Amino acid sequence: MIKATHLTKRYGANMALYDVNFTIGKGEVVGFLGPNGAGKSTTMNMLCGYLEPTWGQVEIAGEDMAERPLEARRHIGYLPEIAPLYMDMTVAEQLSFACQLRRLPYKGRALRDYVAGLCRRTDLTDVQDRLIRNLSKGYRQRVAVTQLLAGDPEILVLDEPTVGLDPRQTREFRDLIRDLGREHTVILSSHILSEIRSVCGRILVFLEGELIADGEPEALQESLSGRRVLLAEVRGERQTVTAALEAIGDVLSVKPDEQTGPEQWLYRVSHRPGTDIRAQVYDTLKTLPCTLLTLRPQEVSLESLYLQITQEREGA
Amino acid sequence: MKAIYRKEMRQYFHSPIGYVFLAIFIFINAFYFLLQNLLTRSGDITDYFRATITLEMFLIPILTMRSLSEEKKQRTDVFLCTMPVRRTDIVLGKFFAAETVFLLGLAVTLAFPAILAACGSVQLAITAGNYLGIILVMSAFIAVGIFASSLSENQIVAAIISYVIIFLLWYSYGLGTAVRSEALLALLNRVSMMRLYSQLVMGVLDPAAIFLELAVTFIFLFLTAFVLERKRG
Repeated sequence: MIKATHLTKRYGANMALYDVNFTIGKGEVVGFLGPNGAGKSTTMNMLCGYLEPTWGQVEIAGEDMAERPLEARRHIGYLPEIAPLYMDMTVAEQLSFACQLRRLPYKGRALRDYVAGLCRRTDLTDVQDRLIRNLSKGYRQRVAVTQLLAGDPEILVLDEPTVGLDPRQTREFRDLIRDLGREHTVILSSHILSEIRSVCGRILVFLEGELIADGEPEALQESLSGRRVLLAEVRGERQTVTAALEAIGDVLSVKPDEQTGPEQWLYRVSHRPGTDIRAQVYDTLKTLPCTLLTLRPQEVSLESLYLQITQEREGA
Repeated sequence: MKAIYRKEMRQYFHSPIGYVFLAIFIFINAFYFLLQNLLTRSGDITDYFRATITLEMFLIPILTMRSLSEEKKQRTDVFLCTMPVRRTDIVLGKFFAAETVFLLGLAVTLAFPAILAACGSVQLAITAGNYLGIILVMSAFIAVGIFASSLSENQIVAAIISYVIIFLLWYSYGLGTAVRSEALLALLNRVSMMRLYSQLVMGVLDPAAIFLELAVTFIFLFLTAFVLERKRG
């Protein structure tokens, strides 16, 4: 659906984006993650045909953005960081304008009905005759997304769509994006990890103009951390349990982390990524004079990994 | 283009700008008609046109200064440029909308030659020449104004850039005296809007002059589309 090849953007001596490559398939909900100035918006601007790459190529639904920009843009709806709305228009006028720009075959009453349908889809019916200037930030953002839905482009690109919204609006907005993700290919950028993780099935991490990681949140977590950790709470003699756990193949290290009772410890069992050792842990402990109380994988927070990577990079 | 044109027209008349422009435009024209023709009992419509054209020149940037500046300021240019719309359609939609508002004002002034005709006689060819001249010159200036507004997000800066370009185009004839180069002098004489206008006003229908005025309009519209396109680079 979207193919970016060797995307590079240079402003004078400043390299804003360097050799970024990725492919996004139909129906994927992808998050662009990175600190401010990492190249997320630049990439989005290029995907949507607002900026031309210095080198590289963007292909949208098989159409080359440089050679057939109109055809390529027909498949995309783009919400930039600052919602592009005309403050002196009503919601219905703004949406009608978007329909006309997309050359939808509706006029007069049919256009009004279509716009009313759009408003129903995103809960804007109550405010459709109000001036955008008089709407709250949450509603404005909703209008900005709704106008992208005119003509139902397959791809929606949303640049930091929840910035400036209050927690309730943010939650509502995430639900909306999740809904849209069922029918559209969605690209969403944010520097807030939890937001991206709650909505996206795949994350692209940008840093200083480079794409440094690409994958599912869990896989990314693994590949970035290089290991996985299982937390096992076991009642029994510490040395015996530690030795038994260490003997399991794929286990990298075992550390009794915290005493949770008399002869009862919480062990951190690190193992190789891509392996599932839960059954082996259970079977091994079953044969020993001890009791397995709980067994759960430890969530290595993406947040901490992300901070770690960005700090390492910035320090280097 | 139609969508952009309609949106522009709605914005002109949903905000004070369209009304303010028309009010000042009609007031200035009526005032000079009163001064040049009615009070002096002159039947020569050219006096009235000569007096108003320089003032109208200064009104055009008021009409065009927000055209693309405001889009840039509100970031709605990103919306327009990522929709399946040609850059030239955006520019032409805006140009024709500003042109329409200007022509609405000019249409009101048709009453003045009609009044003269009712009171005495009007030289039809000269009146037509004046109208043609004014439309061609102002169209070029509207194109200049839209071009200037594509250069800055600040409306005032856009207006000042328009004034500078308009001034140079209008008075390039006058600048000729300061130029030593023969070729440059000939060029300045040729493109001076004032000179082209004067020819039309005298009833001389010079196709080259008409072509040049249209060319100036076209060049500035093209430059505007180029600026929008350049934002991609």
